[in-house]
Amino acid sequence: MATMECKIVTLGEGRVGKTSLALKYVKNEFHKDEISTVNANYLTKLVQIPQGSVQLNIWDTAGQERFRAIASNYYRQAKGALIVYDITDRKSFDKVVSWIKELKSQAEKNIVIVVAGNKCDMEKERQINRPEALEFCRKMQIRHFDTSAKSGNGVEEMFMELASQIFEANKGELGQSGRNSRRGKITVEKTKHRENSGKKGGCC
Amino acid sequence: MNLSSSIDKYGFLSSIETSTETPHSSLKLNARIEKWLVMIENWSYYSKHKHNLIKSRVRKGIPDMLRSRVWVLITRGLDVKSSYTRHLYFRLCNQEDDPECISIIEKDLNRTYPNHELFNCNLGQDSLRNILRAYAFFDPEVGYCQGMAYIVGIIRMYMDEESSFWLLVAIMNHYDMRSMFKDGLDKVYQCFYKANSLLKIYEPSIWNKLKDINFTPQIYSTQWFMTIYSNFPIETRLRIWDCFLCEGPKILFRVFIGFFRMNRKLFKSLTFENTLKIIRKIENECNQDELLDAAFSINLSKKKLAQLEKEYAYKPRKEMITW
Repeated sequence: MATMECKIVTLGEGRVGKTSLALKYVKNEFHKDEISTVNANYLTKLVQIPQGSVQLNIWDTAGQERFRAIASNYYRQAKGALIVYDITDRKSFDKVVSWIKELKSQAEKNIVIVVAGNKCDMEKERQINRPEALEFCRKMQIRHFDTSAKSGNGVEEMFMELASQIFEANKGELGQSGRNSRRGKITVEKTKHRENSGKKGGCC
Repeated sequence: MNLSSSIDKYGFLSSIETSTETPHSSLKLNARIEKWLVMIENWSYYSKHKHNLIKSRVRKGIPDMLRSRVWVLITRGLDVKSSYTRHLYFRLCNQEDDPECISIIEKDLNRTYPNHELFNCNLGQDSLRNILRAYAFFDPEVGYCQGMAYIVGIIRMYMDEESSFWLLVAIMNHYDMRSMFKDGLDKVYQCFYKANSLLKIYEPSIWNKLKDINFTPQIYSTQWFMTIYSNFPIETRLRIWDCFLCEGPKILFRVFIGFFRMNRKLFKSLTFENTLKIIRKIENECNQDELLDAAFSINLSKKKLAQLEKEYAYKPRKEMITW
């Protein structure tokens, strides 16, 4: 079976939970006082989806506007982007729009984007109207997830969705690994036949 | 509960017992402190006539109990303060409106050294806010940029709030850290360029391997340059700071090369996936003496750095590393 290796980046305003979401997903850890990110972090996880397996190489970057130029170096060659906002912070949602615009004009053409409304464990302090966020993402044809890096809610589902969309978008390139760039590369390797490609759901 | 057992001598909450000093090392330390006290008492004489002696002593590490005094002296922090109108810090703090960047500052307050006894409570965080807020008024072009809180945090561990502010001003102005944080982060890219070029000269085999996997300095060293290695172990970090404040930004590159040089054998077989892990692991365990010995074993001239800066200025696409 094929393993697709792909690079994804986390984007979004500072302190929305980019690092925490990645950490929760990859290591099942949550730190209440996660330190602010200046250096890039890199985490990796192999995901089994019905169609095959995808190795997600997650690049996590600093959120402040001023780091945008540096972030652009990360989303180059990325197959997927996770844009995060904080449901208790109006401004962070406004930033989602500009990130989508930037990705659509600057990143790879078939980049898969998902949006996470994070900190949904703090529903009482919500500032973003949920239907509004959903409607916005629907118009953009982007999947929206309610997540909480603290409780783990929605995190697994979101990364699974990202992985399968990336697989779908890039499966044409499977088998042509030679000409792909190093970081966005796709390799085909022989792995045990675990699942039938047509089977739905039931993945871990 | 004995709280002190879980806080190291630098104020960090720690589960590891710090090594107790042997009588021999404390005798040695006392002798060093004596020498330093003589220097401090006669600072203007030493800084004028014995600059090389200061430099070589700083390279061995400033005794921790004297660090705050020496940092102010070697950065000319007091001169900076007196070159502005009196009570300026007080007035900046009392500005009524907030600067535009206040929300970004607020977001970083409780995630800057949260494992330090000062910054895991309101006292330290309020102080961080005051200093960063005042600086944003003082220098609107820079305002606040992520990374600055780490710098202020280290300074504030050693001195009161107002002195911290002035030391920050000194660092930003005298060592051109302003352009590290100004919009565009121009200096950061220049650092990547210089670091990459120097690695090619001093550690060509490691450079070649990093090139093969397209592993550029911006992937791993943003924090090294922007925050003067503030993610290194505290003792190593303070030694780097001592030298940085005394000798200037050149030390950033010495440490960069030294870091790879002292760990040559760990950089033998690299893949894109394991390289960042290796670097972060070395970072966390980085021994101060080994790193600084390696850093100062390098023959690096100011001329070479100036030449690289010139090259960089003519580069058409500044953000790209050309291998």
